[in-house]
Amino acid sequence: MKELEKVYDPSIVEERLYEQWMEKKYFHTKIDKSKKPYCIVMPPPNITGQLHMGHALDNTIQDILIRWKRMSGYNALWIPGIDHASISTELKVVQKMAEEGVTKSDVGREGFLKRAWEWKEEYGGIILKQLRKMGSSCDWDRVRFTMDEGLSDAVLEVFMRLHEKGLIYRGEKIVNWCPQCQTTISDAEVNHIDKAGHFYHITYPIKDSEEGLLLATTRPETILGDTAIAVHPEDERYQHLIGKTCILPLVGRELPIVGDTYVDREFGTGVVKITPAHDPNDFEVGLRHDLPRINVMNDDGTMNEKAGEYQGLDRMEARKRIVEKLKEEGYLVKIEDITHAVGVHERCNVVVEPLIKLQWFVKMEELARPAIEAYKKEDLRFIPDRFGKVYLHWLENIRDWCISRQLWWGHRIPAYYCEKCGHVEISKTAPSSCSKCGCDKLHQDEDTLDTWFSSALWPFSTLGWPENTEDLQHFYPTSVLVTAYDIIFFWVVRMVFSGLEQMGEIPFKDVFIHGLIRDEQGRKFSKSLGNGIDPLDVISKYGADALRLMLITGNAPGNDMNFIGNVWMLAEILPINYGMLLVLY
Amino acid sequence: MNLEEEEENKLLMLTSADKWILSKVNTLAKEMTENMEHYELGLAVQKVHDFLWDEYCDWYIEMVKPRLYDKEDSTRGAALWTLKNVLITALKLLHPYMPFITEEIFQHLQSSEESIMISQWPTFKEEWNNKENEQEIDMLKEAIRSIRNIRAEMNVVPSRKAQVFVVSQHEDVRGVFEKSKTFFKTLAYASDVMIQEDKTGIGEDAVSIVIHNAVIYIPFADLVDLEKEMERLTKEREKMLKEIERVEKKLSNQGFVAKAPVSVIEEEKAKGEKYKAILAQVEERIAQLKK
Repeated sequence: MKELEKVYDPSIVEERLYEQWMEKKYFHTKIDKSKKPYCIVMPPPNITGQLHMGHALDNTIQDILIRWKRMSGYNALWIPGIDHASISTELKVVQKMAEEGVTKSDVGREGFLKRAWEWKEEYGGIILKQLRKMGSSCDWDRVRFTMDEGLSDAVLEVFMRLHEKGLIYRGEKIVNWCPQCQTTISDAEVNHIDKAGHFYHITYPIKDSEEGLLLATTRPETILGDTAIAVHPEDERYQHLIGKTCILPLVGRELPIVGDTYVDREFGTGVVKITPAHDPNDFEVGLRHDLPRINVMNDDGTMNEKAGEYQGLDRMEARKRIVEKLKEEGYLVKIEDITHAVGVHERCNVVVEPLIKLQWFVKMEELARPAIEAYKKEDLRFIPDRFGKVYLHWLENIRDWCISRQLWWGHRIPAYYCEKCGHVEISKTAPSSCSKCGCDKLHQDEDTLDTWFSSALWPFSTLGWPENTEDLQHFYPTSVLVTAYDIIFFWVVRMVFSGLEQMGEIPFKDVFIHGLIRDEQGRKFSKSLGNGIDPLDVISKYGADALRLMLITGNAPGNDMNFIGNVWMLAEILPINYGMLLVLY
Repeated sequence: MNLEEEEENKLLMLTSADKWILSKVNTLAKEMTENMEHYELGLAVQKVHDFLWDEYCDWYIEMVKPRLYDKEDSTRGAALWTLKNVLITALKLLHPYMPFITEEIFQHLQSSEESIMISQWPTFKEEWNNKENEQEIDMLKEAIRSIRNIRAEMNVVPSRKAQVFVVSQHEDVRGVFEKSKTFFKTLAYASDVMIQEDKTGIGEDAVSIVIHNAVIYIPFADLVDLEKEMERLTKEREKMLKEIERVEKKLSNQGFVAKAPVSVIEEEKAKGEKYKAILAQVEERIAQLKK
């Protein structure tokens, strides 16, 4: 036995031991059928990421579980990996290009992708190196990347299969559009924040009558796209008007007055304008009453040719002018100051515009059903159980998933359009000619897939799917997914239905939800608050053991925990641990 | 003698303290495994942490020290064996949480296994389980802890040893304490330990501490040097009287009361209250001592 050093220096010891473990290949897992498999697939950090306290906690928990199971005689495998993070990475690359004074259109798609890959090569591995510093015992021989060859193939395979089953379709839908980023964004990427705004109370005259209908809107620029007026069918005040016609102020278009139970009688005057091209609820009303959709806005948030004299104006400027005109012509009754929740894009904080777009969608109803069943049958377990309700809530209220994004970095949609007959070919590789008309001029869809499309496949794609690999047979379904509660919908739900659909089996038995790490005042760590603690700083000062102990002490499933309160322990813990040992000599 | 025999011999020499800590670490392994199966990782790590600090360092190591220092002690080998095996078990339980320091210690502590990472997770061993011993030592710990507490309350310096009487009508309880007399000397500053059925030979002024199924008595004079204590208390009394006078003077000064912020006045009043309370305690002690 060697003599122990008198003073424990974590930075020296930790580096030496990690190297020793790597050399001895302790982290590498060979399939051993005599042992029970235990597998965790690491939630892949974004390639744009730097290790933060959230990752540190997430990975500490996984490492504890995997080390424990390895010691307990399981065939324990922890697969690491990273995510291409479509929109975040694209924004970073665009930013970097802006510093050089170049834009995406200057360099073109190919040029841009070359830069994005270079960026990935340079920065993409940083976070994995940081995870090693934490002592993470993952199988580094099995690192996966959502855009590596195998995983890209898995993405195409799933797209083909879902399309064949009629579960992927292309359609006009109202989507959340970010006029700044020029892309569709998912519901979950919209932050609803309270903003000061106005209710503009406007009278719509009834045709051949002296009467008018009073209603209120917060977005008067959209009246140019109104195609109906709606009231509740059982509202005695307005029942007699259903079937009659209103005249749209400023435009003069005739609008049918329809009865729809979507209207809330108690809210405002009980009369609403219906603008199917600019509001998701109105879009649904429009479908029920077969109303035309008039889109009055361009993708950049300016008004288009349908807006007449307002064409070319920014939506906010158009709003101002339209209000002035309504006032001049006597339609404006009053302006009421209000505070209301406005949807903004979480990345750029620009107000999201609901717009109609031709997009690719995944039909959700059929896919959601088995995912709901799996939970109800207890094939899938949430720890703590209360998060099962969140999961169910999302699934039971699920809408079709818009999977196309107007971005370049990611998996390009495998749809090819015939330039002659317009036929759409779905194919893993570019078809040489149109299967319908034989024309050889086809072009691929410009859009890429939502970044969660590939992460939804993560638990089986990382094990080698669509190949029926030994890893897949031995380790699927995985044992537990460890994650924070903020991505239950984004990710957990989608992995479950994807696993059930493609593998016929849930991707993991347990979902262990841990809380978020907060500062001593209970605030989330964030760069803008300046309250972040860099886990790497803690490691270099006190060692990874101390960081891990701090993160896990007091940690209870699902609960947030405040970080600073634990710091005092650092000073005490290591010397005592070590000193205790010296007693033996 | 081969190694196995040596091991066995040591096991035969295990004292109740050794059996107690083995049983404790055994229970710890069982409980932690259960916690971890329920993903209660914070709870599990707290348990191994408490075990190492409280049971292992504060109690067990202190209890075995005399055996380690005495090279002639026939149970010295058993003590070393237990120290090592319990520590290895606890290190394994702590390893998933603190992989590095546990590995560093593990590799220094033994040479039969090359890494703690691939060692066996401790499982419950029936032969280490000894609830009776756990109860015995827990009772002893309670007695020692209460003696330490009373000494702390009375400001008794560690160098001042005192006679300890343990009185219990239960034969088995007396048996337990009889076996563990030495722990009172090393851990509770006892000069001598008497285990008896009744209060024979215990003075009226003895300080008493009631624990489960027994009462502990310590002669008052053993704890306190009457003359010195009187002197100290008298000084303390004078000091308090002076302080009280100072505060009262300040508070009756109209100029101060008119000008000083309310918070300062409140603070002074609070000080006055505190001094009065201390004075009352000191005077009570003086009265007691005079008896």
